[in-house]
Amino acid sequence: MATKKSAAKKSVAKKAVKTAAKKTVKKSPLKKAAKKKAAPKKSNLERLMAADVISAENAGEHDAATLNKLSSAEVNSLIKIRKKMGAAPLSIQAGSRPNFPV
Amino acid sequence: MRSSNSDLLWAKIRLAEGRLNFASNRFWSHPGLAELLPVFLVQLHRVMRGGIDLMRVARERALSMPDDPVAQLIVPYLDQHIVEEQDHDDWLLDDLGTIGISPDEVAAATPLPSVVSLLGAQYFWALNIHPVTVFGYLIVLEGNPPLTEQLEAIRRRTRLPATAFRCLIAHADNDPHHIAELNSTLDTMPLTPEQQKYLALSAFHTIDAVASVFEELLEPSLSSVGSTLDTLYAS
Repeated sequence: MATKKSAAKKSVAKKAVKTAAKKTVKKSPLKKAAKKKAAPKKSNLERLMAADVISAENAGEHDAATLNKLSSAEVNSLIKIRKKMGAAPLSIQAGSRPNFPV
Repeated sequence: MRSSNSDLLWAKIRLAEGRLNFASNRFWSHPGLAELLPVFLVQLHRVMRGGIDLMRVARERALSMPDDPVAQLIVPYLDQHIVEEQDHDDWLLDDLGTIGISPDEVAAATPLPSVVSLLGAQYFWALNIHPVTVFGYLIVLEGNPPLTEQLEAIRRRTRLPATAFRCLIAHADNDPHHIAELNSTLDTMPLTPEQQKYLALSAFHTIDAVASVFEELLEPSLSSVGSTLDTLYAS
């Protein structure tokens, strides 16, 4: 009998701990905030347009399927390169460009 | 229809090439170009010589991968291209000699950080990722060859002797042929998506680094009239 009682006590105690843990998780403001901030994942085309790598007017010139197959490393690299151009317009054609012929 | 490897790579390059065009246009239209051009040619010599060494390393790496179908296509291409390019640095040295810059002075000039970055990244990728990445570098550099009429206009504007432009003019004539070969070789390769990604990253880095070379050449510490070459040798 004593064993049964102590097992029942243990089970009640375990349940109490679990409930308390659940309550703590539910109450965590951090987790709530994170859930609120989670936005739907942007496509590569959306990211590239947001970073001005592709302008809205020229978006149609690019193959969306190809763009959306770019890896995140490629997209990140393109965005970094665009940032280095500052406010320079996107559609800069090579004017007098004898660049690095190797 | 599935795009060819070269079409796909060029579609990606088009997204980034504005950076190179912007920096390049600023450099070639700079009012102090007559002073800047000799320094540019010295740095170009570094890139040419370094490029040959890079291709040799990439070839060796490809040779060490006998079971890799892409590596096996790289070896014959680089065998041929190394031969095509191997004397160009000497041509440029001759051109520099005609504007009073000796081979010793060229050898003493400090490579710009952007030149080191341009080539150094390629060694990393060729040795640690896959030697096909060198195609990203070559396609960007050979894909925008100078035009003879542009070089002629620059010569008139800078009043530098025609002999300073012989190597550049030779590239204006030869590079369109080289880029066609590069594209067709790339199109025969059974590239994996991973290799296509690294090819693009290599091309993007090349665009960024060459743009940085132009920007560094225009930095006030290097572009002050009369002290351009002195600064390079002293740094």
